[in-house]
Amino acid sequence: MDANLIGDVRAVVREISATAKALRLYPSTSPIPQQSASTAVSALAHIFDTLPVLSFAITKGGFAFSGQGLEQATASADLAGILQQHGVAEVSFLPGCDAEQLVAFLGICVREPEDVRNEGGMGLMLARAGVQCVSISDVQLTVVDGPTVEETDDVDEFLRELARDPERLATWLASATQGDPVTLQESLAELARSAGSQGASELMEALAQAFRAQNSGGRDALLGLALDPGPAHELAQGMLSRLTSTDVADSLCQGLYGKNMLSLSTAMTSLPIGERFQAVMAQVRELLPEFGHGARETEFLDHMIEVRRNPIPEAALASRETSYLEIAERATVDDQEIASAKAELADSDAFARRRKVGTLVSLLDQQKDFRLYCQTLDSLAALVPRLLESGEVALAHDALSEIAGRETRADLPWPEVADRLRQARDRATSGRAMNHILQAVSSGVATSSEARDLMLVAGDAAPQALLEAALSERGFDALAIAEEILGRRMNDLLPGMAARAQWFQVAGLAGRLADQADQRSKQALEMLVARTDNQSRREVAKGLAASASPSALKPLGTLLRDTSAEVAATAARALAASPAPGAATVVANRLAELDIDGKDFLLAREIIWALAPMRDPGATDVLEKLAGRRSLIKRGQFSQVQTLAKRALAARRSGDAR
Amino acid sequence: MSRPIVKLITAIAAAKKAIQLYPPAHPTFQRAVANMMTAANEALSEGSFALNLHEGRLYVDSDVITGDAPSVASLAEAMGTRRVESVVFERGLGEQDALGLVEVMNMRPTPDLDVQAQLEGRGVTRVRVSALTDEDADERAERDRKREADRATYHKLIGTMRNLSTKLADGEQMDLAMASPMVEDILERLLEDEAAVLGMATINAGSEADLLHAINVMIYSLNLGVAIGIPEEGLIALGLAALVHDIGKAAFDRNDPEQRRAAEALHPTVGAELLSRISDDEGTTAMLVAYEHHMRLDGTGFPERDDDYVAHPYSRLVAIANRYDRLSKADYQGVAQSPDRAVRCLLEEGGPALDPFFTRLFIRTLGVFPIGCVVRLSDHSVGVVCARGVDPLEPKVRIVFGPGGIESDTPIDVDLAQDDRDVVEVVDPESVGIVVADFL
Repeated sequence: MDANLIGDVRAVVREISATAKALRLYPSTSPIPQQSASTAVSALAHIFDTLPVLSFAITKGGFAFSGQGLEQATASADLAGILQQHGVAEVSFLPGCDAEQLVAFLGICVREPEDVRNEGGMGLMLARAGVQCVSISDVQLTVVDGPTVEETDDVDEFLRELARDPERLATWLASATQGDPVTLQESLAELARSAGSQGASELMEALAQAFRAQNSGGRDALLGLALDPGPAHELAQGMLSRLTSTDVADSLCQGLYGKNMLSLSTAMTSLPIGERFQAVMAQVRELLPEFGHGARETEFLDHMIEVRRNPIPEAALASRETSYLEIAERATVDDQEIASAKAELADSDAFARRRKVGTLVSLLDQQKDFRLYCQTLDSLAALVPRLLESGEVALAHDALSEIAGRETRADLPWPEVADRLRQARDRATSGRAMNHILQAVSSGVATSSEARDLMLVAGDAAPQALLEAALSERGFDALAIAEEILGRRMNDLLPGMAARAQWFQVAGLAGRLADQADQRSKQALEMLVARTDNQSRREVAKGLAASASPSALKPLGTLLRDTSAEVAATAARALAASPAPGAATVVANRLAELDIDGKDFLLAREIIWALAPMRDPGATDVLEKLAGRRSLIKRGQFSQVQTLAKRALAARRSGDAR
Repeated sequence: MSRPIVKLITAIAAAKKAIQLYPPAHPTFQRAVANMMTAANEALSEGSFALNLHEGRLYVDSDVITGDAPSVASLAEAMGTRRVESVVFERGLGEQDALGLVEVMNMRPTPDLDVQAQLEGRGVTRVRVSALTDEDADERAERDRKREADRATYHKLIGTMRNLSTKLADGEQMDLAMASPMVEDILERLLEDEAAVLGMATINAGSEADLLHAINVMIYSLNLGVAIGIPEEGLIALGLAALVHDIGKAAFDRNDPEQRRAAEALHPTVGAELLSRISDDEGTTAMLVAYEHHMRLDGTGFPERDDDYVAHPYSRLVAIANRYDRLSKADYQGVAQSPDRAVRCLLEEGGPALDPFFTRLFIRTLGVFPIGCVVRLSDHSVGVVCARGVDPLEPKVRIVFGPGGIESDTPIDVDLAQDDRDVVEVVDPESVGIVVADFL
């Protein structure tokens, strides 16, 4: 059986027996049995961590646990005897047993067996007292005479008896050592005074015996008295001299002083054990591993004993070992150093990106495995858009050049590597990267010359991606930047964009195509005007408004005739804004085709208002003609058209319309 | 007024002794309680009064008790050890009140003893006590609460690192973002309570040495980064980089001796490859730190590089943090340098191997007796360094063991710059059986 468990079970028996003993001497409401009961309950709680229930058989000489007799102290043998007198064969403690239930149970135990039987037996009395966590099994009913407790009124005699009786003293100490240490000290001094010089030796002997019966906390308290030069010191010293070296070492190691080597060294150097030091120390050394202290702790104990015994005060470590002072002096920094470190760190992100390119190239060349080569290549390619985003076009150029340079190398062992390198270059210079280039040049962090250099090593699809990015950009004239970067190549690329441009890209594209005015561009523009979605056609109209080229007017005229009123209205506004000469003629022609006083009034109204701010001087003639129309029969919206034309004319003349 | 009060105090002292020595039915017991009641009622003849404790002396209301009886000093001490500031005696004091008071005064003065509650539990109605205000109690409770929260963050970080390593070993993509909030938490706490965070870095490795090392290096790197004045965004990147500086080791089976050797030599390159796949700036920094943290300033170390190669400043910071943690934690032979010795080694290495300025700054931030160092003072009390002092040789120490070696219930902080005591020895925490992090 587990030795620790047996030890714990013995501790429970000891504490319960001490409580029973205290109950025989003091009333149950007294703090002494209450404190004993609390200690016993703590010991029980510890057992319940391991066992669901703790049962003892009552044997002839004491208690047995799991068929194994427990070594009996006198108090526990007494309790076992009392239980036998009550006819109890087995007693079980269950989890939940608190001090109140334990005191109630033991209170019944210490009553006269006959009285208990007369009141229905122990089981019934336990139930009446509400004791649910202690159960008993009776096997016999035997009538015996119980012991009687006599009290004497003679004060000194009471204390003298206490001082002489190790068992009573042990019971008293079990409680007193748990209370106030100062009161314990004073009470023991009082006990020593009562015993007088003649009884001193007997008291010390009794105290030594009582010491052995204490739990660890009780022993700590008594050892504490021996360490303290207070009123009970002499008595404690006498007690100590009657204990064996094993008793002292065991108590030290088990208790408070053995918790660490600092307190243990204090106890070893301050306890009045005189010549027995070596013997106690030898025992302590033997016991320390059992209490979980390793070699390093034992070594430290020796060191601390030496330190505590040394009467010369220790000097500060820093004055004994100059290295501490040297470290303190060397570990200084001045503001200048901090400032330069900060300056270096301020550039650390850019530094990191620069270094990352070099490191990745270095890693790439170290790869022996194609899969790892591709992974590192992908990382390098993925770095390019990040570099462009942060405006580091030159660094991105370096990364791309490294990739491009390897496409033509013949020393790489994998046949498919050239394709992978080209793909990586394409990925590195996709639309997002191109957008970053435009932003970088636009914001001035990079020059178009740097961007041009980069485009020379970029993927094949990069120019088109750049153009697409430029067409999508609304915040600045990205097409102009794209033109700076791509040069004449842009003119070649633009017509091809007509078929694939998305609606939000066509405005810029249409304007550029109108400006170029070559055959391919005109065809591309026609393709845009013929798009089926209104949104695209409106965007085309908006884009053409910016073109000063006469080529813009024909598609605008077409859009002015668009089946969608919205597109037509947008075209009218575009013509109004158009710097191309002849815009007014386009409008006039369209007005002539319309039933402006009748069903086409709404579109006509839009066109008439568009004429007001028109740059083309011909717009004045058109408006004057409309304002001066004469008719005998004023059909439909005739008057409104006339009024509208007059207002537009007035606005045009005053310049308000622009 | 003073004489009846002294008489009462003497009667209380006698009653304390009597009720401990004698059973309640004993005449001495009864006489002591009766004497105490008589003395109390005599003292109460002019009305209720309060016994107040101030700086170790007893006062009746505001008049000092001049009597030099040992019982006066004893009661003052008893009140002090039980953190009782005043005891109010009210007219009509009965036997239950007298007995209850003495019983409570006979209880061991433990930190959790609530004297007023004990009196109430005994039905005492004519004696009331007020407790001394423990101004540091709230601070201690808050510190304990935050320590628990820090531990939770620390364990969460260990979990995250474990997760990252497992994913890498399985060939999955890394996501540094999952560690980012925890690095932010640690940084926030570092700025708030440096000692608590550096205390966590003293936790010993055990079975998950690599994970704990990663976190410790992060903590030390952040501490150094804060000292330099790196802005928050940079600190997060530094913290993440430090956290994954050894991530390349995850790609090796460390149980195989051959692979373990390979991991030591190749983990910077492998780590850099793994981290190169993270395209943001944090990934870039982390990749470089992983690649460069074993490069020494004098051109030694690994991987090989050009002679004029200068490592990224974060790599140089992490190299110092890495070295310090390796020195101060148990190596494969179970040998660890004490923090002060580790600092000394580091300073010696600074220059040829480590960036000399960053090394000096690192040591300045840690102190000659670094936070977490266990020191014995000239009165033999032992504590944990919890903050740097104005003078690096005089840190602030949280006293854990008193001069006799008994562990304090409530550790007290002592500023050695304002104390007569000196550091006389640096103690191995294992020698005194403590876990340093529990006290910071």
